[in-house]
Amino acid sequence: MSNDTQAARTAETTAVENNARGGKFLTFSLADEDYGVEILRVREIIGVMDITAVPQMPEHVKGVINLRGKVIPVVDLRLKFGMEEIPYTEATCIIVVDVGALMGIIVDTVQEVLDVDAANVEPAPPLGGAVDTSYVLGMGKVRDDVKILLDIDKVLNDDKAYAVDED
Amino acid sequence: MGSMNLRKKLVVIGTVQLVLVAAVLMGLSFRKANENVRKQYVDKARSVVLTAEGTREQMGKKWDSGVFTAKQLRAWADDGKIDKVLQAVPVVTAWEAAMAKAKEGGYIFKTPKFDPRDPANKPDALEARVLRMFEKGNASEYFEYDPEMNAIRYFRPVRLTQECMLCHGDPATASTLWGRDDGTDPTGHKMENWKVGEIHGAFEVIQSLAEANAEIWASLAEDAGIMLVLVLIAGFTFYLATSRSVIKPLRHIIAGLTEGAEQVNDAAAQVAASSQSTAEGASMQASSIEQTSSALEQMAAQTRSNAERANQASELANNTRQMAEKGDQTMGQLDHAMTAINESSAEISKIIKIIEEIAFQTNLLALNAAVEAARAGEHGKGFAVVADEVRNLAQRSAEAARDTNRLISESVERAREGSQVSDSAAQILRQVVENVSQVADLINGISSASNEQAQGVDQINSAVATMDKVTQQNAAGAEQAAAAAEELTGMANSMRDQFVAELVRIVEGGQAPVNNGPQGDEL
Repeated sequence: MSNDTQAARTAETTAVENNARGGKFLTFSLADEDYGVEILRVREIIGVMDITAVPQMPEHVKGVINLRGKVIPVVDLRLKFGMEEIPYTEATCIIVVDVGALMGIIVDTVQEVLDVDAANVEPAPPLGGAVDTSYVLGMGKVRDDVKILLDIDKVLNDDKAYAVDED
Repeated sequence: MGSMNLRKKLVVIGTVQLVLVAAVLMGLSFRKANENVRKQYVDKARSVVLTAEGTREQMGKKWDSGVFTAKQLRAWADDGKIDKVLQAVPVVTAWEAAMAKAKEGGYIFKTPKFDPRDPANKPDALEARVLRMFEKGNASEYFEYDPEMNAIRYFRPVRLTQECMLCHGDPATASTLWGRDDGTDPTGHKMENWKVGEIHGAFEVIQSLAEANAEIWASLAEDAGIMLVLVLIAGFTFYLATSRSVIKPLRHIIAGLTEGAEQVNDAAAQVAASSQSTAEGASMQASSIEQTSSALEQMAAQTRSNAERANQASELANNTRQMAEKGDQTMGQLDHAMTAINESSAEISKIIKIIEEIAFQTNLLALNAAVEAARAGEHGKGFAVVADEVRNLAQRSAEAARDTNRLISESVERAREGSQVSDSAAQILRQVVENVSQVADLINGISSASNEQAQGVDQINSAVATMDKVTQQNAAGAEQAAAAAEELTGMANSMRDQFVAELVRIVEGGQAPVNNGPQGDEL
């Protein structure tokens, strides 16, 4: 498995390096870091709402929400990344992303939609950061800040199984 | 007598009295004895003379019975037997009878007569007096003590009888009787022409008292001797008795009195000393009372000013408390204002919160719009711009709301601070009020205590005044005691010096030393 993953990862990185992807990202904060998600992946942003817990789920899978009739599983990104869980504030939002199925990720705050130039995207350093580097598309430089651009597909890959089939 | 001691005096007096009594008794008995002797002698003389008179009478009877007659006598006279004639004379027989036994009888018999025939019968002065007395009066007898002769002289008058007329009658009868013409009787004496019943001469018995006196004196001497012995015994008894019953107790008393006087002196000295110390103590007490009194005055003045100050402080405290209460009230008002501010701030905050929420939601909406715009690609660019503007607006609202919130927070904070300050000020004021209350209570306590103190000081003052009086009384009493002690000493001394000394003088006699009593018991 590791060989495959490593190979895939190397491919992804190369792809990233080769693609030097830019584009619009929705930035949010989590713990003290700023992250970004491709805007095309984002379906909707909502404030945090009641989450119906589902039994026998992993810890970071908080449960499901009812969004206009649709049942969407919600993942706490903090727990996903192994960070400390904090109580939800008024700023806490759920970003509904489309990773093949609709899933929600709970983030601390939602910031803005940023246009990141491809030239401003650096590859992730191999060590450091709280996030597994396979999840990271790159480091986006915006003004004075650096946003960790996430590959949300990779992030929620393991959890797709919990999503309700839309079809 | 004055310088003898008492015992001697008493003994002397006793014995002298005894002697006097005895002497008087002896004198009386002496007199009585003398009287008895005289009476006896008179009786004796009387009986002698009576016997002589009896003899005369018997002779007269012989004449009456005719044993003797004148004839007989003439016959004898003619014979010259004058002595026989004389023997026939009754009176001659009488006195011869008496005289015959005179020596044996221890008396002298005489027949004094005026103009006697026998010159031996010439009366001496006394006899003359008695004869004259007999001639005057009718006394049948007379007796007298003749101190010259130391004898009792007893007289009985001789009354002439008929027979006497023969020789002493009318001389005219001489011739008839005797045959004589010259009026003489046979003895040759002239007939005196006496009458019968006339008193011529007296029978006298002289009895010397010498022997009787001697006897009396001898008896007296014997009595005196016995009495002397008795007096000596009595004197000795007196001596013993006075020694035991008088001198010894008196000496005892003298010693006791002297000792008593000494003791009184000592006691008086002690009393004087203690009076002295009492007086000193009293004067010290008086001066300390003075000091105490002045200190009390000061204390009283202090207390009064304390009370005044306490009153002033009380007023101040009350004022302060009132002001503090007013301040408290103001604080309360401030508190109300604060609370109002807080309430309105809370309201504003709520609204701000709503605004914030709206801004947030608007932001989300704008983001969603941007997402949709991005997904719309080219068609969504305009929409993206609108979404951006909306987002900007939302952000501005959010910022404004945040600012307002901040301001509200600040003002709330300030109000809170103000409230805190007012709270703490109110607390402080309450503390002040409490303290002032406590102070006011304390001051009230001080005031009442000062009042009590003032009362107490007054009481102390009066007590001190009483003490002063008592001290003065004490001093006066001590002085009196000292004076009394002095008097007592004086009296004791005078008793010792005058009376005891006098007593000693009396008991011991002579000039006893004035200041000492007898040294011990001399008995």
